[in-house]
Amino acid sequence: MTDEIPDIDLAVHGRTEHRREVLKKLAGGIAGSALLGTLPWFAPLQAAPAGGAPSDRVRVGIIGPGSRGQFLLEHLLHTPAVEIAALCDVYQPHLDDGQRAIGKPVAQYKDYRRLLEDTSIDAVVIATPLYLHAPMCLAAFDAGKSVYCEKSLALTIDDCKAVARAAANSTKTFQIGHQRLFHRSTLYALKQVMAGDLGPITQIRAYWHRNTAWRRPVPSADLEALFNWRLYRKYSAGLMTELASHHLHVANWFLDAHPLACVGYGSINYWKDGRDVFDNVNVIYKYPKGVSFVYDSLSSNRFYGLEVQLLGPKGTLELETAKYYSENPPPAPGIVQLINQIEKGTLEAVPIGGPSWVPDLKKDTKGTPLPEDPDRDDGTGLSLAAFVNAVRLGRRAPYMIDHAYRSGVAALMGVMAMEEQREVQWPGNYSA
Amino acid sequence: MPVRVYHHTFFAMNTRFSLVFPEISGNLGRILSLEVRRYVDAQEEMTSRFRQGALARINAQAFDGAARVPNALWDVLMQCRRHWEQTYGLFDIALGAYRRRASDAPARSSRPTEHARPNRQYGLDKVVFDEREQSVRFTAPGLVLDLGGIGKGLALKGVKAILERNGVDQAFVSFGESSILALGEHPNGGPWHIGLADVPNTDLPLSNEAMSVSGQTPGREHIVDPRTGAWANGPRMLAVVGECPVEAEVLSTALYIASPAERPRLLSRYGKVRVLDVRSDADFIPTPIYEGSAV
Ligand SMILES: NC(=O)c1ccc[n+]([C@@H]2O[C@H](COP(=O)([O-])OP(=O)(O)OC[C@H]3O[C@@H](n4cnc5c(N)ncnc54)[C@H](O)[C@@H]3O)[C@@H](O)[C@H]2O)c1
Repeated sequence: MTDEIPDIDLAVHGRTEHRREVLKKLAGGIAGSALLGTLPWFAPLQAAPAGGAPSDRVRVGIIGPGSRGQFLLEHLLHTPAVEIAALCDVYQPHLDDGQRAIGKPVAQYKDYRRLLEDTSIDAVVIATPLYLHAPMCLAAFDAGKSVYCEKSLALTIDDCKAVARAAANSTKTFQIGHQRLFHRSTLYALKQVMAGDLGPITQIRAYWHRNTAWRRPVPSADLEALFNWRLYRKYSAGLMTELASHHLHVANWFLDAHPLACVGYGSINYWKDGRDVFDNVNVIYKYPKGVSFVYDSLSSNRFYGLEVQLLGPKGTLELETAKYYSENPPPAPGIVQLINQIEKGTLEAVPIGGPSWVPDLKKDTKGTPLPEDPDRDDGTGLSLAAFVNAVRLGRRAPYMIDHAYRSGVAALMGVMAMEEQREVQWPGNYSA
Repeated sequence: MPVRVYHHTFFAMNTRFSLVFPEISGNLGRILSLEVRRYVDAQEEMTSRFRQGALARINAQAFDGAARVPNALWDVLMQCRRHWEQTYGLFDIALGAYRRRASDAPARSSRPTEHARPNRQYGLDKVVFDEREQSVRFTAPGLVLDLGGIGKGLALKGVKAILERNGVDQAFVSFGESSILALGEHPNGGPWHIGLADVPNTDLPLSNEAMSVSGQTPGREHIVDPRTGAWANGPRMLAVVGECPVEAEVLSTALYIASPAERPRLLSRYGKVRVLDVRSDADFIPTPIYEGSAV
C-alpha cells in the first residue's frame, strides 16, 4: 500500500443534482490516479454518475427503516439513479415513517421474503437488528439481489462465514455499512500513515464511553425485544458488535491484517436492569508484528467519549477528533530555509537566531487537524453512492467482503473471550 | 549535484533541538541523531530543576544539610562557579528562587525602582561548596539552583564532541534557535551565514563557532539581574559568537545584564568573541562589536 491518495473533496450531501456534480468531479479525480491501488472499493466511483435514463435506474428495497435505516433512506433519496421501490418492516409506524420520507406510495412488506420475491428490485439495504443480518443477506443473495448490509456482519462466527461465502459466490454487489472507508479525514489519516508520519504503527487504542442505559422507551411491553434488541444476547452481541466493530474495522484496515487472537473481560457492573449483554467491555487483540489493539467501552461514564488512536514512534493520529500529533516539534523556519539552501547549492544568510523557542501549546500539543468534509459527512453518502454505482454497472465492490468479515469476526472474538474467559484465536478465513 | 541533507528536530529542555547534517546517509543521520538525542536527554535529566535528576535532588536537600553531588554535575557546578567569578557575579546559577517568585507574581516587572532596591537574598555567595566532600549546602532558605542559563551551551559542547568523535566535520545544530553550533563550513563553501530571525539584514559568519542569543520576551522573561533580584533590563537582543558554546552562553547572559560600560572589563576576562548588540530603538546596530582578549 504505497499509492498516493489524492486529497479529493468527498463531500456527498445535499440534493441529487449537487451529489451528481460532486460524483462527476470525483470520477474525474479517480480516473488515472493511483488511488484505486490503495482504496480498491472506490472503483465503482470511477464511472460517471447516472443520468435520468430508465436503464440507469437502480431499484432499491429497504429492510428495516428504523433509526439507521431511515438515515440511509434519506441519503438514498438524493443519490443519483436510486429509486426506492419497496419498504419492509415488522413495525407499521416505521413503514409509515419511510413512506412519508419517500413522498409517494411504494410497496410495503412485513415479511422480507415477500420483498425479495419482487424481481423488479435490484438491491436491498438491510438495517435490521444484528441477528437478522445473516438470514436476510443469505436470502437476498439467493434471490439474486445486491446487498448493502449494516455492520456488524452477523451474530455468530458461523453466520459471518456463511454470509461472506455467499457474498463471494454471488455475482451481485455486496457492501457493508463501514462508512469510514469513504470518510475524508480517515482517508487522509491513512495517507499520513502510508507517508510514514507515524513510523510503523506500534499500537492502536480505542474506546467508546457513554453514560447511558442504551434503552429506548417502549410503547408496550410486547415491543421490548423489537425496540431494545441491543440489550439481549439472543439478538445482539452488545457493545462489541454495535460500537467496537467500527474501531476494529479501522484497526484491521490500517494494519492490513485480521487479529490473530484476543483476551478480555466484561461484566454488567452498573446497568443491572435485566439486560444480558455486558455494560462494559475490555479487550486486547493481538495483531501480526507484535502490535496490540487495546479496546474498551463503558456505559457508565462519558468523560473520555470516543476515540481511536494510532500510535507510532513519530506521531499519533486520533481519528474521531481527526487530529495528528507529531512526537517531534516543527523545525524553525530558518532551519527549513537552510536545508533548502544547501540542497539548491545557494548561500545567503539564514535568519534563525533569537530568544529560545518555546512550544506553542495550542498548536504543538493540540495537534494538526485532518481535512474534514465541510458538512462533517461521515462517509455514509459516498458509501451508498459507490454501492449504487456498483449495482448499476453490475460490478462487485472490491475488498468489501474482507472488511465485513474481519471486523464482524473480530467483534465476536472479543465477545467470546469475555464470555468464555479464554484466549480466542482467529477462526480462519470464510473460504476455508 | 543536489546535496542530500539529513535533518531531525526533537523536543528537549522545553524547546526544540535541530540537527542538520549535509551529505550524510539517512542511516548514519538517524544513528547520530539518536546518540545526540540520548545525550541531550541525559544532560537534561541531570541539569534540569524540573526533572527528577541530580539537580532536582540537590535543590530539594541542600538547605537541610550538605548534599553530595555526583561527578558529572560537580564538574558543571565548578564551571558555573568559575564563570560566576569571571563575570563579577553577573552569571549566577543560584537565582532560581527569584525567577520562581517573579513568574508567580501577576505583574512581572523590571521597573527601575526594583533595580534600585538591593535584594541580596539569593546568589551563589549563599552556596557553600565543599570540594573535599564534593557537596553543596545552601545557606539561604528557598534557594534554588537553575542551570537554564548554561544548560544549552553545555549540551552543545557535548554534542560537538559526539559529532567530532563520529567523524562529522560539517553540521548545523540549533538548540531553540538561541544556541547555535556551526561545525565546519557551509557545504557550498565558506562559513555558515547566520542572521537573527527578527532583525533584517543581520549576517554573522560562523565557522566552527557557536552563537548564543539572549533577550527577554515580554511575558516570558527569564534573565534575573543578581544585583537587584528583578528581571534584567538589557538590550532587545544580544548575540555572542565564540569558539566555545559554553562561554558564548555565559557571556550572552552576563553581557545582557551588564551595562554597556561594564562590558569591556568583563570581556577582557574571556577569549576572543564577537558581540552583536541589538538595541530596542534600532533594528540593528552593527557596532560595537567587542573583541575580547585572551585572559
Ligand atoms: N454504520 C453505522 O454507523 C450505524 C449506526 C447505527 C446503527 N447501525 C446498524 O444498523 C442496524 C440497525 O440499527 P438501528 O439503530 O437502526 O436499529 P433500530 O431498532 O432502530 O432499527 C431496526 C429496524 O428493523 C426493524 N425490524 C426488526 N425486525 C425485523 C424483521 N424481522 N423484518 C423487518 N424489519 C425488522 C425494526 O422494526 C426497526 O425498524 C444495526 O445493525 C446497527 O448496528 C449502523
